[in-house]
Amino acid sequence: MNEEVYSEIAYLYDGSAEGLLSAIFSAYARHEDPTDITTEKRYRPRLGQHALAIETSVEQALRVERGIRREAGDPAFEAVVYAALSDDEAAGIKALRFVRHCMAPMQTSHRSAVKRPQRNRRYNPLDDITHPDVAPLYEIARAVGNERHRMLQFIRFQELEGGLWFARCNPSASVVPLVMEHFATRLNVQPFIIYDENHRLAGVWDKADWYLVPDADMQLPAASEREREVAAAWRLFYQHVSIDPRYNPELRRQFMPKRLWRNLTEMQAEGSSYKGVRLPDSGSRSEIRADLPLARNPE
Amino acid sequence: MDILEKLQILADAAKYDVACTSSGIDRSAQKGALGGASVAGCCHSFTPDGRCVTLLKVLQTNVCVCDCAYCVNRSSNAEVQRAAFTPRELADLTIAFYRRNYIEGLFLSSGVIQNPDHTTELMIQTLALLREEYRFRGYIHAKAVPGTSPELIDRLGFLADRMSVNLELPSAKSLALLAPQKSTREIFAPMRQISEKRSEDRETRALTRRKTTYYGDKPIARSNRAYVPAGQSTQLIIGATPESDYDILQLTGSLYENFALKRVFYSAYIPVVNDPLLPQTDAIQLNREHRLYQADWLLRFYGFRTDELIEPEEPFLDLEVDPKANWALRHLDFFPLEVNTATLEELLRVPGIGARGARQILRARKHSALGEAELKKIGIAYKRARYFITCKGRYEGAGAEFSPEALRARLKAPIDGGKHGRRADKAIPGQLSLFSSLANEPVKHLSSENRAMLP
Ligand code: SF4
Repeated sequence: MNEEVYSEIAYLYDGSAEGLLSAIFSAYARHEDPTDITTEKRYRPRLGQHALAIETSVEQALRVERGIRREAGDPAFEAVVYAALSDDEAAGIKALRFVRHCMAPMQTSHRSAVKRPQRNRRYNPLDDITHPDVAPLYEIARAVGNERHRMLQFIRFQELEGGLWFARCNPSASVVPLVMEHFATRLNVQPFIIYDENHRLAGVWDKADWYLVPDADMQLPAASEREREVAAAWRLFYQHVSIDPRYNPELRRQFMPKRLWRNLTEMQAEGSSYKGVRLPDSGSRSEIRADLPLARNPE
Repeated sequence: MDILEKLQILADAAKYDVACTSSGIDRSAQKGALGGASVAGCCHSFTPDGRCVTLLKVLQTNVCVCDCAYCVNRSSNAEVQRAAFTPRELADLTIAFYRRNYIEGLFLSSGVIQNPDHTTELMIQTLALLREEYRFRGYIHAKAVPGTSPELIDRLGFLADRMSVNLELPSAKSLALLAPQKSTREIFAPMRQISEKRSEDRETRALTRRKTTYYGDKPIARSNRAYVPAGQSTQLIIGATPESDYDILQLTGSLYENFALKRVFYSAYIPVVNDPLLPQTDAIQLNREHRLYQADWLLRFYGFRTDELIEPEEPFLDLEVDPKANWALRHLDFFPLEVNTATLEELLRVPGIGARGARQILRARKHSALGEAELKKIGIAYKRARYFITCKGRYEGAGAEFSPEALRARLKAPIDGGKHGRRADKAIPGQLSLFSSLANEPVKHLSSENRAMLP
């Protein structure tokens, strides 16, 4: 019936989790049912649809976060954040449907006579993974979670001159925000930048805090002398742990997808370590903070 | 000799130990220290044979005074170059790899240089550098060398997360034949010591964790490290000696029971040295290894008992269907189960329903009764499971007769081991030419040996 009242509308957000939460906030505030929630970059206009650019508001995002956490619990909120970072076109709209499902007043499930359980602290809408409003989001969140795990496995750091560490990656979802905490605590004595070349997003850890820099314009020094030695040692080790009679490249590809190989030290040819380039080549919006070693030590 | 050369030799020598996991312990990061560990472990790479690389797996040295027939490092093997890492070299390399996210930590094993105590002391020095000087909080797996004095094993255990003593051969008789310098007593002594010390350590730590005063908001600071917090494991070589799967699983079962082992690893025998005592077959028994892992998994996570999986009358696991399907086919009276009412234990017995799927079913059915459409959305292999379940009273396995033979045909799953390499299907069990005298003895005999060798 909404279609009769409103013309079709698409919400465009900035691709961040806060952006998607702001879009969800708008859907409630404006009493609208958008047909698409997607990012500006991915949006393809449809006939008879007008687009609304959603301004990211941390305050609105926090209100939505509190609401979801209160009504549906932490895992449900986490799933929405994961979905926000997905490259799936329909992730935004699936997230909205899921949030509406979580927030809907208690009702008897229309699919069967089973009553929806009382909302207590243990209520988790994700348990109902066969529900048409839950299953699509669950799938997306799981795919993003898997990609996050792949990054925990396959991100490779290089030591640059001047003591900064740098990792370049190409994940299929914008998962850098989801891995920063892991690497920041684990490598805490070592400042680093993780750069996602697909989503042009840099995660920066300066040994005190981590933060994200979209479309970062950075000049990085070259890899250190030691870096070449260690990378060579790693390649050597990699070549020597394999057992020839067990050769099974299909199995390897299943666990370590080929699309990720180009950023894996052990799959690169000798001498391909980082030469110190400007990244990315255009479109700078923000600058890396000046107190980082790389800023002090430009090429 | 430079470090690269050493790495090459000592990684090559360590690769036949298949244990490579960083699981079993959660250690959060600490300010100013490097690293942490997560309970599920994390694989950082995969080799061309599809095996996971999670730890820097090397030997401290491949110099060895022993002459175990199946081992590349045996003292009589003149073809292999010998090398040794200094503790400093190895600690530095571990840290360098760790900082680049190549690895979760170190897996340190060693040939016996001079004597077991001297060897273990070298390993202790390496680990002490890592833990104390570099404040390394990543994962460390250390091998206990049989014959090491108990004090040194203890010291090593406080530095490592996991320890292992490799049994390698599944019976005392085979051990005596192929590893003449190691007695079974020497192998079981450190295993027993680690298991006892570990439970003792856990008890005392649990005590200190308890609040003792009303003011005690903070837990009592524990300065010392836990003893082998991720438990111990062992490895058995499959196919070098004539023991059957029955013998191996019996042994596995008693190892889990008697020593509270976390894992038993199986390694299909690969001929690395020529020895008249060993089979020189070209094919390696990878399919057999695969089935043993499946059976082992059922023992550890699915509540199966050894005698449910294998019987002395049929001492080898079925290569055609997996051990769980095999059990189901022999117990058709247990099925079909109604997914909406079956207990977790029952669901875990259904072929096609894994541990994750079973738990998802329990969660999902709280919200709505599950039919075929819902089940397909849950992470189970519905195509296999449907022969053994009903959903809302409906049996979905129509098309197949509910008999062991008909269902077996549906459940047949060749082990997909890839198209390369010298795969196991070329090996016919019983083809082994070794121990012609031994092989003629009834299997029963070997298995009673097995039990006798456990203290
Ligand atoms: S003691 Fe270990 S390293 Fe030495 S020969 Fe035996 S198995 Fe090989």
